[in-house]
Amino acid sequence: MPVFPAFNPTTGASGGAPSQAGASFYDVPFGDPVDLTSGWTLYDPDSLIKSITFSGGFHTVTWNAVSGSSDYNWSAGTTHRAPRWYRSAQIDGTVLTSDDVVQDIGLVITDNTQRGAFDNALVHGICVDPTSTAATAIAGIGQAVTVFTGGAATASMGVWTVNSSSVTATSAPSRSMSTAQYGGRHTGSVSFTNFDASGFRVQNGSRNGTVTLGAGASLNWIVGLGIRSSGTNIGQDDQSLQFKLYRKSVKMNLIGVL
Amino acid sequence: MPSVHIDFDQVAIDSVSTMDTNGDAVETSAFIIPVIIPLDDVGPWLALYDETSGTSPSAANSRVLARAVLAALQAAAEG
Repeated sequence: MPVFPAFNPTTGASGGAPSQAGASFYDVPFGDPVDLTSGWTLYDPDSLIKSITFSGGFHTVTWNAVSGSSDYNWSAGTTHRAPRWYRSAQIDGTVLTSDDVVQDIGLVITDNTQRGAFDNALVHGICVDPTSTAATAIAGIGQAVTVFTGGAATASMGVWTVNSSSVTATSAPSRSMSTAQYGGRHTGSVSFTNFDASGFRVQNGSRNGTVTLGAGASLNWIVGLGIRSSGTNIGQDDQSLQFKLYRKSVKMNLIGVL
Repeated sequence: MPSVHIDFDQVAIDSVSTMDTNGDAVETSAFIIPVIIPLDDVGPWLALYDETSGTSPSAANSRVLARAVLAALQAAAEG
């Protein structure tokens, strides 16, 4: 049976040609940071994104004006009309499906000196249908980052499950890593560890997803931006938190062990 | 009297955004306190509760739930 490693052992990329010998799972590299301006598709049903730039690994997003609504809050309501970037979730060219049980790992780094002009939020994870506006059809879970411009001097970091989230700014994090165990026809669960700059834990937590997934649905990686609170208004040309993302997905072979 | 417990190891402080039992949006920084109701006690607890009555459950029965939650909150808040 051929060996198909879960990542390119040289670059750390989830895709790429499989090696002959497989790859070590010790010190697995994250590879290059996510670049939403290349290879990702923006779905923005209400045209809220004016522009996005990518420099030094960080994204800077400029917005068009809009009045607050739960539709733009990834952690509220049943409708999500907030902008999101997405791409097909693939390992070594194989599209992951809702039947698979996937470890979806994310790392977010924030520039807490550039937290944006309004109370904003970021989600980053894995989902089924990124072009739906129904929260349970998107069925995403992963990382959550929120900014309260009148509150903590850092972003709050944690996890997102479909239309809810748990985050914390305890000990002023600027880095957070999450692992979602997603699939098997369910959104599963996601846990997080917030780090200091040395990579030591300052806070941790978890949250369960509650959505049952259909059979054989193709999965996608998703990065969504929005407002932290449903009543938050966005002004024309406002910017949101500057952020850098890394990601990796791993699928274990369950055949023969069940 | 049916029993209730708190999973105290799992009490956490988070900023949580979610929906409550009534479907109302909740967005707050809070203590999250997991309440454990044994399956054998679900029927007895529900028998004490009439959602159409503002005086249900009784003060004595309410106190069992309230004291469990408040004892956990006090212990967590005092660290």
